[in-house]
Amino acid sequence: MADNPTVAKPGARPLSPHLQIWRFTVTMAASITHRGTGIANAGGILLVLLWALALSVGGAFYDAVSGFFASPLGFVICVGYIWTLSFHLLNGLRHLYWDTGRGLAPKTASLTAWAVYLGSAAMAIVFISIAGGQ
Amino acid sequence: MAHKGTSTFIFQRATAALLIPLVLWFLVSVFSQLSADLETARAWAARPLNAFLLAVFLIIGAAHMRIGVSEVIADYIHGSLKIVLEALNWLAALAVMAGGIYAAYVLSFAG
Repeated sequence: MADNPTVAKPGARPLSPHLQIWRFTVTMAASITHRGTGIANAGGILLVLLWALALSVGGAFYDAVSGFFASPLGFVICVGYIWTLSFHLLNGLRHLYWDTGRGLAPKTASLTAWAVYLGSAAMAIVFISIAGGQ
Repeated sequence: MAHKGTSTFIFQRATAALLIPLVLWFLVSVFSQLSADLETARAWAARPLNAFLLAVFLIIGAAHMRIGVSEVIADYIHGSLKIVLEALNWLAALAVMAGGIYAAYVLSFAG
C-alpha cells in the first residue's frame, strides 16, 4: 500500500485551512493560555523542586537558589508563576464545571473565559501582595 | 496512552481537584519563603505541616504535570522524538516526587 501511487503519502496530504481562517475568540485564547500556563507551571514546579532540595542541603547551594529568587529575574519569574498558577487554577475550575455538562453554551463559555482572565489578574495581585508583605 | 484514556482522564481530574487547596496554600505560604535566608526558610519548614504539604504539593503537582505535558507532546510531536520527550516527562515527574519526599524527610527528621 505504501507503494501505491494513487494513495497520497501522509506528509504530502493537503492541509485544510485552519490557523489562517479562524476568527479570534476569547474561548480560543483561554484554551491556548491554559496550555501555555500549564507548561509554565511545569517549569515552575522544577524550580520549586530545586528550592526544596537547596533548603534540605543548605549552605552555598541554598544561598545561590534563594539569591536567584531575590534577583530581578527571580522576582519576574515569581510574579509570572503566581499568575500562571492563578490562571490555570481558575480555568481548571472552568474545565471541571464543563465536565458536569454545564457552562458549554457559547455565550456562557465566552463570559467565563473573560472572568478567568480578569479573575486571575486580580488573584495574582492579591497573592503577590501577600508574598511581598511577609 | 492507548487503552488507558478513561483512567488517565479521571486521574487528571482527581489530581486537579486535590491541587485546588494545595495551590492556594502554596500561593499563600511558599512564595514568601523562596528568597528568604536559610534560617527563616528552615524555621518555616519546621512548623507543623509545612514540609509535609510542600511534599504533597510536589507529588500531586508532578502527577498532574505528567498527564498535561503528555497531552501536549501527543498533539505536536511524532516519531522517535516523542519517545524521548515522554521519557524525559516521566523522569522529570519522578524526580519532582522523589525530591519532594527527600526534602520533607530531611526537613522534618534530619534537620
